[in-house]
Amino acid sequence: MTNALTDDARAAYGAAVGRSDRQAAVAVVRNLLANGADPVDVLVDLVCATQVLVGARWQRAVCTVAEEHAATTIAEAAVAAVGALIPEPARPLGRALVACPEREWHALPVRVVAEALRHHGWSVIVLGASTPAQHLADYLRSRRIDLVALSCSVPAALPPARRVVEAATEARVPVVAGGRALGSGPVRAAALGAAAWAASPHALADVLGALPAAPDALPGVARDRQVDLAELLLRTPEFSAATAGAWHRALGADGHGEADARWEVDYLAEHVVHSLAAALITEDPSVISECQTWLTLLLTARGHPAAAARMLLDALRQTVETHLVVAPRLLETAALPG
Amino acid sequence: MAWLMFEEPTAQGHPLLTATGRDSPAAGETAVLAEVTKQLLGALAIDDAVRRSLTACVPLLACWAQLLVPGRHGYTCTSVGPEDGRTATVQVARPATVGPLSGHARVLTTGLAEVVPIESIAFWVADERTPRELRARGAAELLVLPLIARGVPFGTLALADPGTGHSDPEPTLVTELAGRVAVALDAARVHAERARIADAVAARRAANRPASTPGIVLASRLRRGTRPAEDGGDFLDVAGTAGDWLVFLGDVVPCRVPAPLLSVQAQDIVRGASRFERRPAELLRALNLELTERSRPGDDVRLLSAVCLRVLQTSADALDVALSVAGHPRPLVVRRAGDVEVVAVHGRLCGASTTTVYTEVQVSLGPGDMLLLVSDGVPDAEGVPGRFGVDRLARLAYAYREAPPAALADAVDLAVTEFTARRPGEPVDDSTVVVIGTEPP
Repeated sequence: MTNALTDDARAAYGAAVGRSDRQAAVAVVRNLLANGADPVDVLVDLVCATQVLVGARWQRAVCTVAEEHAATTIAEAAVAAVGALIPEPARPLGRALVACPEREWHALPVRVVAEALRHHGWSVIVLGASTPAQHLADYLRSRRIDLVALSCSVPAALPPARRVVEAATEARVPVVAGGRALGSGPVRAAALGAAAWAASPHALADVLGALPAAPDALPGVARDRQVDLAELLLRTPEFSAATAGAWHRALGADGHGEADARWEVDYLAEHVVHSLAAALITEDPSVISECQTWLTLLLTARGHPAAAARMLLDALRQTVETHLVVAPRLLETAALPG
Repeated sequence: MAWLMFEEPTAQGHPLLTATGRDSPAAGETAVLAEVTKQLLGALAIDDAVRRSLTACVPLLACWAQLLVPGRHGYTCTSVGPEDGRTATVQVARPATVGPLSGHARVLTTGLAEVVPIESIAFWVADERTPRELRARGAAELLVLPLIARGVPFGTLALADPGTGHSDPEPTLVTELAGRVAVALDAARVHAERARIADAVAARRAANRPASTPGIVLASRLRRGTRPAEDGGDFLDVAGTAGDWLVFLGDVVPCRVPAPLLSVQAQDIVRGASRFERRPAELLRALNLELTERSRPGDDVRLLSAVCLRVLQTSADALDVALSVAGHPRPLVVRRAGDVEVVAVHGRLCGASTTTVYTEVQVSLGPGDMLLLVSDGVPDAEGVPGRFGVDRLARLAYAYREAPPAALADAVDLAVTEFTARRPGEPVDDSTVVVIGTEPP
C-alpha cells in the first residue's frame, strides 16, 4: 500500500459513502490517484475495505439491505472512476473473461478484479453478476479467451462455480478463482478444479505468471456427494421450507427475534442449504463452521439467542438426514458447539 | 490418395502412420482418431479449433505441428512444439498460385499431400530458428497435408516427426486426421462468419444511451433467458438529447422472423420516427403500422410488446414522463414517500391491427421518485410457488423506495433470477428491468 492512502482519505471516502455522496467519493478516489496511489491499492484497500465495513454494519443490523445497496452503487462509481484512469493495454498479455457464477450477486468484486487485470496488462471482458455456466460456455466457444477469472463471495456460488470450471476446462481455458467464499487457502478452489486461487486482486500478477497454458483434468466428485448435491439442487425449496419450520419450532416463543419476518427466515434457511451444498462440492467442512459463525453474529444482532445459528444447522440436519447420504454426518461433525 | 514428393522419396513407411498401434494398426488408428475427434468436438471459434487440432497432434503424432488457415489478408500460421503446449502464430501474405510452386503453396493449390525438407518452412514460421531446432531433434522432413472442405483446399496441416521415412502411398491415419481437422476448421469458419453478424445485431440490441444528463438517472439490467435466441427477446434503446430522453423497451413475440432481426427493425423504426415526432403514443402508432403492414397473416406475422417513454427534465430534481404501452407490463411509480402505484395505461401489441390506438399518460417524478419498467419475464417468471407476479414486484419496490435506481434494478434482477432458480432446468424467458429517477435528495 502506498502512503497516498491516508487515514484522512479513508475517513473522507467512508463519510461520502455514508451520506450516499457519489461525487465526493469519486473525488476522493481521483485525488488519491493523482497523488500517486496504486490503482489496485485504491480498489482493494479503500473501496473494497469500506464495502466490507458496510456489509458488517448490515450484519450487525446497523443498516438495511437497501442502504447497503446504496453504498454499493457509490462503490461502483468509485471503481468506474479508477477504471477510467487505467489505460487499455496496447499489447495485452491475453484476454480474460471475468464473471460471477450463478447465485453470486456481488458484482463489485468482479469489477475490481477486472480493473486489476487491466492494470496488469490484460484485455478484459466482464460478464457480471450471476452468470449461468451455459452463457459463459457459449462465450468461450465462440471467442478466443485465455483466462476465466471467477469471483465467489457467498457459499451458494460454489456449486455453480464448479459448472463454470467444467465449461472452461472443456474449452481448455484455465480458471483463476477468488473471493471470500473460497476461504483463506487454495483448498476449495482446487476442489472446484480451478487452475489457481488468488488470495486477493493484489496476488493476481504472481498467480497469472504461473498459470498453465491449458487446465489439467478436473478432480472427480465422489458418487455419494454427487447424489447429495443432486437432491439438494432439486429439493432446495422443500428442504429450506422444512428447515425454516423446524427452526421456528425449536426457537420457541422466547427465542424469536427480529428475524421472524417470513422472508428473512426463508432466506436464512435457504442460506444454510446452499452452504451445505458448498461444503459438499468442496469437500470442506469448514464451510459449515464459517456459515455458523456468520449466522451467529447476524442473528444475535437481531435479538436471537446465541445458540440460534446452531439450532438452524440442527434443523437442517434433521430435515435432510433421511434423504441424504453424506450431508447429515458432515453437518454433525462440522457444526460448532451452540 | 497419392502423394506428390517434393524431394526424392524414401522407401520406408512414414513413422506417423505407425506411431501408435504397431501390433494392431487398425485398432491403434481408431483409438487415435477417436481421441482427436473428441478433442475437436465443440470448437466453434477458429482460434480454439486451431489450438485443439494442434494439441491433438502433438505429441501424439508428431513432435511439431503447424496449421495454415486463410485470414483476411493472407494466411495465419500457427504451430505448436512439444515443450509446453503453447502456440506461436505468424501472419504471412497469400503465396502465388501459379508457376514453379513448392511446399505449402503447392499443397494449397493442388490439394495433394507432399513431403518437404524441414528448411522449407522458414517462410511460414515466426521464429527463424525453428527449422534448425527441428532438425536437431531428428526431424529432417515435413509431411504437409491439405485441408479440404466442401471440395476446396483452404489450408494445410504440417507434421514433423523425428522418424526417418514417409512414403506410404495410402497414409490412412494422417489423411483421415487432416480431413477431420478440415471439417472442424471449416465449421468454425462458418460459425465465425455468422457470429460476426449476430454480434453486430446484438450490439444494436444493447442499450444505447444519450449523453448523460445531471439529474436523470437510468439503471437497466437485461438478463438473457435460456430459450433459443431466435425465439424471442427483450431489447432496450435509449435515445434523445440532454434533458429530453426517449426510452423504448420491447419484447418480441416468437414468430417466423428471428427476434434479433425484428428487434433491430423496431428500434430503427422508432428512432427514425422520433426525428419528427416525440410523443410516445404516436411513436407506437408508427411502429404498429409498419409492423402490421410488413406482416403476412399466418406466415410472417411480426408482433412485439413495448413501452415507450419521453422523459423531460423540468428542473434539477424533477422529471415529467409521458408514456404509452403496447401489450407490455404496466410501469410502476415508486414514490420515495412510500406509495407504489401501477400506472393506469393500456394498449394492444404492436403488429396486430392497423386500427390500434395508443393512449398516453403523464407521470411526474420528484426528488428520489422512480419509475420501474419491466418486461414480461419479470411478472411472468415461473418459480415456487407460481408466478413472480406484480404484487411481489410492488412489495420489493416498496422496500427499495429510498434506494438509488441501480439498487432497485439489482434487487429485482436478483429476486427474479433466484425465484426461477427454484425450478432448475425449466426454460426461462428474458427479463429486463429499467429504473428511471432523479438523483436522491
